[in-house]
Formats: sequence, C-alpha cells, structure tokens
Amino acid sequence: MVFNTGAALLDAIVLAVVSKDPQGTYGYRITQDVRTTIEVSESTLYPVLRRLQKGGCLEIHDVECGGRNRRYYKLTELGRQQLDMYRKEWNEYSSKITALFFNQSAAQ
Amino acid sequence: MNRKEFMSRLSQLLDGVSKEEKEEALTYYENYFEDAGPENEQNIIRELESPEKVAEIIRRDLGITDLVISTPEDGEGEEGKQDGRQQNQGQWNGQQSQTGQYNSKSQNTDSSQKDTIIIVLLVALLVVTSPLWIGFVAGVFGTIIGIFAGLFGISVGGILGGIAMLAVSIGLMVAGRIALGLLSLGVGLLFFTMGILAVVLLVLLCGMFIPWLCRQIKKLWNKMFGKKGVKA
Repeated sequence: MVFNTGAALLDAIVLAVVSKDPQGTYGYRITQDVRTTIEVSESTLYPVLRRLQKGGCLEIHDVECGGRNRRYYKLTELGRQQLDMYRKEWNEYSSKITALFFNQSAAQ
Repeated sequence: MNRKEFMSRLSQLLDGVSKEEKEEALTYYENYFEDAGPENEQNIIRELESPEKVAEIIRRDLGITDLVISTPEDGEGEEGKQDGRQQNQGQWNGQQSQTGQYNSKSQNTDSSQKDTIIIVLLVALLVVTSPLWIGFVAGVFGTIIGIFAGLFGISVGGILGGIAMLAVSIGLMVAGRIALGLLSLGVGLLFFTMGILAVVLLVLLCGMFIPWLCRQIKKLWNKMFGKKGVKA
C-alpha cells in the first residue's frame, strides 16, 4: 500500500470493524479483521482502541469466557455518530479522488 | 522469548506511565495472547517485534490523546477546528503503519520549543549572575593552569639545570678541583632527578585530567543537547 493511513482513517476503520458485531468484539479479533483490509502491525491497534474508548466512542465490558475474563469493545451512541460522520466524509473524499483519477465528470 | 517474559518486560517498560494506563495496556495484551491461543504465541511475539516497541507506541500515543469529535450536524466553524486537531494527531503512513510507528511531528516541535525557551532562560540567568561566579571560575582555571605551568617549569629547569651542572662538574674535575666538582655533580644529579619527577607528575596529571575534562564536557553537552538529538 503506497497511501498513508492517517489517524482519522484508522479510527474510522476500527469503528467500522467494531460496529459489525452488535454485541461487541475483542481486541484480537478486531486486529485480525482490520488486517484483512489494511496493513497494520499488531501493536498499532491498542492505542487506537484505547483512544476511542477514552473519547467515548467505544465502551468496554468484560465477559466470562473459559474461566477468564475477555474484554469486549462495543460502539457507543457517540461512536455510531462518529462512524456516520466518517462514512459521509469518506464518500465525499473518495468520490472526488475517483472522479479526478478516472476523469469522470461526476464530481459536481 | 515467551509470553511470560514478554509481558514482564512490557510491564517494566511501562513503569513511567500512569498506573491506570499501564494496567489497561497489560490487560489488553494478556487478553490478546489468551485469545490468540498458545499455538499463535510465537507468531504474535514476532509480529509485535519487541516489548520495547510496544511500550514505545503506547507511550507515544499517551502524549496525543485527544480525539476528533465531530458530527455532520456541526457547523462550518467546527470543521476548521477539527482539521487543526486532526493535524495534531499526527499520521500513520504506509511504511510506518507496517512498523506501527506513529509520527507526531507537531508534538516534537512543541517540546523542542519548550526546551529552547528553557535554554535561553538559563543562559540569561548565567549572564546576569556572572559577577558572582566568574571570579571563582577564573580562580579555579588559574590554579589549574598555574599547577601545570609550575610543573612544566620545574621539569624544564630541572633537566636543563641538571645537565648544565654536570657539564660544570666535569669541567671542574678536569681542572683538578675534585671536591668542588663532586659537589656540583651531586647538585646536578639532584636537579636532573627533580626535573624527571616533575615530567612524570605532569604526564600523570595530563593522562588523568584531560580525559576527565573531556568526559565532563561530553556529559554537559549530552545534558543540554542529547535529549533533543534523540527526539529529532
């Protein structure tokens, strides 16, 4: 991949991945899911999850699983709004770039 | 390195961060290893590269914790503000994302600006208080230079004087004045010995003092500019 994945885009990708599971998902699975889409090292995602959690976009809850607690991440209402904002922004951004690259007159 | 070693090293490396952040991070990675299962343990350790790197990424991110909070309903004015904050968050770029590095240029600029201000203030303080300490420093330097110059004088004088006295004694003895000749021979040898002793002392002092001085200067230099060099 030659294009940068900025902090905002990475936040958006993580929110989108977490939003796929209404009852929440856990760190290892989030990492594996994100890595099917973009190249990130395993160590990159913890700070992102923590930041989103502290910003109120994600909430955590522990679920008993095989004799231990597993930490689940779930989207909050704010997280959902944030993801909607990212989707809208991405739509605008990507369609403009696509139009420019492939010489379509679709851009306004 | 196995999971246990990895986690205990990570725990050590996170000693500087707050207790809450440290516990959060450790819980996350404990969970991570659990969920990956023992069969993936080595894979994950390889992927994470090293506890040092994981700790560094966590630490770096803690400096940049504010989140871009904005909804589409926000007005135009809000968007400008949001852009500013986004820039502050730094960027992952393609290659850096592979190594998981987080590029936070703006933060570095902030702290190096702070460093510069502190250095300027320190220099100003030194200049203002110079009447108090300049005499003392000059005295210390003068003493050191005096000791060296004295030793140098004794060594040159002693050796040359010794040689001269030897020549005189030979002349006296040839002239038949044996007693006086022997006396000058003794004095000459004494001078010569003192000169040699002073040379030895001078060499010893130089051998110890100059490396020590270099080390001190290097230390001072690292203190003032070392940290900045690492950050840049």
